[in-house]
Amino acid sequence: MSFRARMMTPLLVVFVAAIGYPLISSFVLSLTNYRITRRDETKFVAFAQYKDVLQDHAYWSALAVTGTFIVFAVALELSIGLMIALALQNQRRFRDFSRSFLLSPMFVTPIAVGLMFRFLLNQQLGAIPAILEKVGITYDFFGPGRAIYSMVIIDVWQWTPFMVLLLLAGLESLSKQPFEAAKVDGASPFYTFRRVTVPMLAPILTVAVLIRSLDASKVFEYVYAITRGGPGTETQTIQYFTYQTGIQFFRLGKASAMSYLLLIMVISLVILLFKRIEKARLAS
Amino acid sequence: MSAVFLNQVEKLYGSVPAVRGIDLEIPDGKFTVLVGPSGCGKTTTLRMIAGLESVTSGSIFIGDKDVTALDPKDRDISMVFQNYALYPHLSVAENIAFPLLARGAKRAEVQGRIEEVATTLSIFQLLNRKPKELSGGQQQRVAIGRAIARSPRVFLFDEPLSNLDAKLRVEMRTELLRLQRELSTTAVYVTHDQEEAMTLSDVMVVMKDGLIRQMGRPEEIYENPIDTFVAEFVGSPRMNLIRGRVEGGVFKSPSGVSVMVPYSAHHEVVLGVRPEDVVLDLDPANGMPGRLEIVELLGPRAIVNIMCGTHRITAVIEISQLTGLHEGREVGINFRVGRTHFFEAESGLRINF
Repeated sequence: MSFRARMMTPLLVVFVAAIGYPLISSFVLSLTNYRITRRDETKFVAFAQYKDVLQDHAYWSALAVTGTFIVFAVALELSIGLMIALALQNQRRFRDFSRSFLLSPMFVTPIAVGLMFRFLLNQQLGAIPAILEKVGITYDFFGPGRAIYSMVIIDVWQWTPFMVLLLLAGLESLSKQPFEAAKVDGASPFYTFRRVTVPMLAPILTVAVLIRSLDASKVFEYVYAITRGGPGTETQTIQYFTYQTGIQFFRLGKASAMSYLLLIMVISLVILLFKRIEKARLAS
Repeated sequence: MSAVFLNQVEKLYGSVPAVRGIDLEIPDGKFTVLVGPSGCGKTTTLRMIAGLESVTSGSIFIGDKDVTALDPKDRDISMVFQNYALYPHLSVAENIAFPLLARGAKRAEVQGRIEEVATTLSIFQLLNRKPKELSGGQQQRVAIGRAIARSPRVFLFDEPLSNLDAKLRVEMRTELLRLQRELSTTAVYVTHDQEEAMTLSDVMVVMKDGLIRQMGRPEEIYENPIDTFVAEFVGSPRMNLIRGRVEGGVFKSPSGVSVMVPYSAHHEVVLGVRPEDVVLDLDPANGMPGRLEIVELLGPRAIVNIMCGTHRITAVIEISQLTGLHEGREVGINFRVGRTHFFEAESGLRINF
């Protein structure tokens, strides 16, 4: 065995044990009708579970809920994040303090954030509805038609700082000269933003959106801590639905098939996006 | 077109002065070059005219308009930057159109202007390319194109040629001059290269340590440098400066140089003589004796280094006069009559007779 191969062996062993084995094992599971409560009835069903999942209305509805969550959360995080990053870029005093202060929500574990907002926004006990009540507004944050957007707000609260961090680093890495040229050329701040800042920042914006979207697609803790998918199935995201199927209803075979389908969708999207980024990079 | 006036303009970075209260009048329609060693405040001065740097005190006028507190966009200027500062994501055509579109022109209106500019600068075939696909010289042309797309009152150039190779620099220099003559727009140009300053300028402004040392036509400055700094800085190879003492109408240096002076006071002085005003004689007895050290050929002329006592003197001579001269040979050194300069030893200021 060459030196190089030997140096890589520990990593490969860990990789195979920690990622390869569960991946293969869950794929094998997804080809069976495995249920924890009826293990003796387990039999090989090939892709029947996949077919089943694809025909399951609830699966598609969970996907749609997740999609809505991602679109709103990432769009808000991107626009608010960009605004904050632009403001911080021009800040002169207390830079380090305000930056680290702004980033703090990122360091709270998501389940804690979920619990925190569960109490803050709870209609009977929460501080925020109580304050709103005083000014004459009655608003149930987790009521029908609203709960998913409240989840979005929570995600925005926790993850906008991450956007700020990425975009600020991006902004500060841009060459200053085109911006000076734009000033001399008579561009207004808005024109400069639209025609210089955004296009020059585009690669970083794309990566930021990609990272946040992938991360948001995993949303689970807020749902688990607050709504458990309700009201009805309005906040039943794909991760929560898969968790319910596999862990609460013990249908691990079906849950594995769901996970694999999601994996395929996400990977296809990522590959498509990277191809586009690469194409854009070559074009410029 | 407009003249530019700087009144007691000062720039401090924290407590460090970059420009120390200068007065400057940049004449209308002329090519003015600010030149000086790095850190002399020339770029800061240009950037203050552009509005990219604030003015600590004093005022700047373009024409009769006080622009001291105005944004760059309201000063009606264009600028060419040292590193071109092109918009990397825009094509050449879009780069040239940018100042027009930014000021509210419609796309349909600017097409003709883009083509005109591209033709003037011979970059027509590059219009659809991105800056990344261009060579340094081509990028600089685009940057110039962007600057002339509008007809601003003042062009500002911040060392625009310093990133180009020597041959291209000379070519672009000629082209810039041609363009400026054609447009006769007031131009302010910053460079650390005195040769560039000499060739380009109608008016040359020599700066040092945040102050203007001398200002005038380049040949005036070359002929009558106001002090030893300007004398040494302007001209290549640099002026020979020899420290010594005038006694009874004769300048004598400790290194053995002696020259007759139309000047009688007893005085510590610095004698200056341009390399082209040093004349060599094959007979060491005719003039101050010296030993030829190094000969550098420059084509039609040669730079010759001669040791005169302990002093090294540089001379520039025609190649035809090089016959019989070789490294190590003893020669006689003379300075052309009336072509010597004298400066006060203490202050470095010129002594006029």
